Amino acid sequence: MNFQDVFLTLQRFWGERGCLVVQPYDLEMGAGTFNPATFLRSLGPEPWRVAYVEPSRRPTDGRYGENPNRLGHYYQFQVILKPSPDDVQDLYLDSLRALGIDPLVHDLRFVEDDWESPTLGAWGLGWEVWADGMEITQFTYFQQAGGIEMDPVCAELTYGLERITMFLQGTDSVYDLQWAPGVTYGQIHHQDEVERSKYSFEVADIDMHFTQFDQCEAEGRRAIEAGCAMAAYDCTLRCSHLFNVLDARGAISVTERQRFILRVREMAFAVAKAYLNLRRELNYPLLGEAGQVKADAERVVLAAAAEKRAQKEAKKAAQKEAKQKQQGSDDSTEVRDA
Amino acid sequence: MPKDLLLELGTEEIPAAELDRAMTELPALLIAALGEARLAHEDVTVWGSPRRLAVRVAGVADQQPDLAETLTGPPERVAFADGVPTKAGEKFAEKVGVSVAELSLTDTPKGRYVTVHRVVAGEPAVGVLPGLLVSVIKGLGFRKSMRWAARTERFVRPLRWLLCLFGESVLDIEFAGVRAGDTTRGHRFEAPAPVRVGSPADYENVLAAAAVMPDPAARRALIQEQIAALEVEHEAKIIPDDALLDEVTNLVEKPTAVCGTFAQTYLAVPREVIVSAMRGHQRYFAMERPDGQLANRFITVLGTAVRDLDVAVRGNERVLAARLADARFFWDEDLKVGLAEGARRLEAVVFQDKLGTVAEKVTRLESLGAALAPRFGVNPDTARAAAGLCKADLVTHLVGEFPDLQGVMGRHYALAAGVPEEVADALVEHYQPKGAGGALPPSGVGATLSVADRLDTLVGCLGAGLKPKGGGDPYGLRRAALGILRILLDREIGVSLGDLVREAAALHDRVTPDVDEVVAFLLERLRGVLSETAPSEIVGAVMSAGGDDPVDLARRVAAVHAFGRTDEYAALATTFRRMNILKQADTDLGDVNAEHFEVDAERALHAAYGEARDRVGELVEQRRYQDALTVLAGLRPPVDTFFDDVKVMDENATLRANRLALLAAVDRLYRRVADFKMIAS
Repeated sequence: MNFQDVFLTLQRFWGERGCLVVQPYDLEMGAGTFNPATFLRSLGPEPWRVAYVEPSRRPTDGRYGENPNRLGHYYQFQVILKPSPDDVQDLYLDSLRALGIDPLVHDLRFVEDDWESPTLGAWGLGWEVWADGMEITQFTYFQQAGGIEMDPVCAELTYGLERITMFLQGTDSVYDLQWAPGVTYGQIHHQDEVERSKYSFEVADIDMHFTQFDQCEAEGRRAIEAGCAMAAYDCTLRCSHLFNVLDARGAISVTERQRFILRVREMAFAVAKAYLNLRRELNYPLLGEAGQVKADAERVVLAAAAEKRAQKEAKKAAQKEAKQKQQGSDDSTEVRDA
Repeated sequence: MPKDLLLELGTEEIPAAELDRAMTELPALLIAALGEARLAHEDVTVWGSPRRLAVRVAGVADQQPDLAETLTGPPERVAFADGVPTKAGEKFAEKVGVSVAELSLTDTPKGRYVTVHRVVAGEPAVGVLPGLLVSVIKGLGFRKSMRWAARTERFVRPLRWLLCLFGESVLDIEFAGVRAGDTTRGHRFEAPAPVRVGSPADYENVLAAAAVMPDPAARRALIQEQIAALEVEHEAKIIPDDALLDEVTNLVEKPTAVCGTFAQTYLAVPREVIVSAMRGHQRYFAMERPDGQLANRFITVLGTAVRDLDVAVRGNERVLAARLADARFFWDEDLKVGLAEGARRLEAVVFQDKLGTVAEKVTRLESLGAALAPRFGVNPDTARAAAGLCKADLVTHLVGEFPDLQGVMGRHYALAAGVPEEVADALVEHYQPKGAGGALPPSGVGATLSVADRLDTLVGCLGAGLKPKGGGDPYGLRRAALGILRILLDREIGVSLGDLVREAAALHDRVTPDVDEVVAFLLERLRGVLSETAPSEIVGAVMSAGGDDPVDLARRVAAVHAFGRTDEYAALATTFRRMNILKQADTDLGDVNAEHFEVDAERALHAAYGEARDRVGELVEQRRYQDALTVLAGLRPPVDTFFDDVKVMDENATLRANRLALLAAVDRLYRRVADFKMIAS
């Protein structure tokens, strides 16, 4: 099976099972999880089923095209099923069968692997799926994203397209994969691996990247304040990629590293919160008529909580005022005594 | 009639370690719940595999026995006034559901109380078990649990089916939207259809026919058997690895072990790297040839008896080849960079926020290692050289990939760079001991560096206010302290902890450690270590008598412990108890004045004390504590006579102070070894 047959097969398979087949996002990202079709759509009560290819960039994994298994730019096939169906494992295994991976011929295993994305404030439990010892998929039940609990929980399936095709074609180097009849993966991507590695490790302008990071961060904040969650998320993605380039370039020390991750994470948290509020204002359109009911119910709860908070603050303020008055009168007494 | 009870929780693949814990917890919770529910039962069997957690209790009573109980209410005087029930009396009767006439009175040590004797009828087990089983399931705890779909329940992985039989009938229980039935599932691929289990006794047979071995012990034994056959066939033996065997046992429902190979050329990479690549990433067993050399073979355990084993073997070989190619690339790259350059790069690695970089730590270790070296009989220059390189491998690719190989890789890179073996070995050894019972560094250089590294971390972290709290010890300070003490004791290096800590503290310029705090922390660990060799009251008595040299304290503990077993010691106990009179004395008693003696017993004790003092002094100097104790024991007769003949707390303040001063002097002499008052009281 050719490389393109693999993702065409997966698209058709999941499309036939109720997934929306969408296209990759138009910004650089480290994994399919960063696509708003996963990160944002996984939040909140609306059902969501989607499948797409995501070209993913990890500058630090670049190897100048010399390593047959590591790439700075590669492809993931991402599936999100929300809520996670009860037969999600069987569905997944059927998708492997569609690719010609027969579980009675190949040893398939679900091996514990908990997933976490510090920059997205997201984590989940699940497995890496092994086929004859090769990790071909990351299978995760999201528990949290953007610091928000998943309700309902979605299942995320991330297929490593190159790995699966290497497995199917029995090739030892990613560059030898047949992309289509007569065309290899190497012919399409080897040159950009070499150039991108050189750029990320040696050439990238450090100052420019730092400056852009600060600018995108500030712009993201402005966008959030203006109620433009999606635009703010674009800024978050840019920051994440700028950080990845700086990291590969060796421009970020260990201590700073943590600080930069936290900066991106803070943006992701703010976007997640803003996005959910905006969806609520729209009455959760993907829930149909139930959306209005759900949103109204939440509004009641939120209003009650807000009122409680306001009362508490008013009480606090009153106490503070009373205390100040008390102190003030104490002071005046002292003055009189003096 | 008693019946067997069977519960199987069918799940998506449970992590290996979680499965072990759940297999201990499930039967424990169930037995406790049955006991509480007054349901007698016989043996309990537990099973577990990646997709199931099951328990069978044989001969569970089908009926709870009646429960006769006595409920106690208010005292008679509260419940009755002149034989007529009061409001309180009526209330109690109402609460327990009887008429006032049924209240009786019982005499208790506290007086007469209103009581009610009642019999609660036992319920049939079928009525009790469902609720009981659901609460047992809910009670299972996991290290990490999760939610799925739109459910609120948490479990280790999604629950997919429940099998629950009491005898031959299904118990109607439900958890997380799953209702119990009488079917289980076989092997995910080899026998995917649901299969009926007729009765609890059939469970294992039904699964065996469906390609599942639910008993981990049986799976483990089968894996070992298969490995043994492969060992013979391929003339190589696996490197024994129980933890890996346990894990692999929990990764399959039915094992099929196979043997694969990798290209000879990869054997040029250090053995530890190959073993780590196979074990850590792939859960493969590494193999050795009869001559002890690493073989270019591995064993992996498949979870499915696939049609053609060769296909699976070739697939696994390809994966391993890719990993080993990576490892060899890293090895070559690291060699090109070299350890000296690695040491320079440590300037960019933070050790701890408040304590600066690892490079700064290394600079401190060079000084501290050289300073400690003579005590370990080590050349200071050797210690300094080893210290300079000991963290350099942290920035290598291979340690980044396999953190467990820190130190081990340092040794390889050092040897490749022509560093003397003595120094290279110390790079591995300075991480020893690993864990509580881990082996100690065999060489003097390794021991020096291990103590220096731990001391630096301990002093620095405590100085930075990072004291471990409760169960949490993120910087491993307790372990560090223990390591220092174990090495000093093992090598019998007598040294004042105060001196050690002061030397280490002087090298820290970012924090100002409190020497006393660090010494106290170390002594607290020492108390634990010594308490493994002698009763803790002896350790306490010795330690509260003072001293901060672990070796000396250990010798004193051993001497007192040995002495404690003699008859002399038993006789002395009374004497020590009498010394407690000193608790009533002022702290500043002044010197003993012979002119104020009035009674012979005073003079006798003073004379005996004088002789003993000099002799004990000599013996303690020579660390001959047992002999010192014999001398001290000789003081018993004059001390006893003193207590018999002399009124210590005399009305005359001068006499009283003088007598107390004499006793205090004797007590101080005892305390050269231990504060015996603490043992005797």
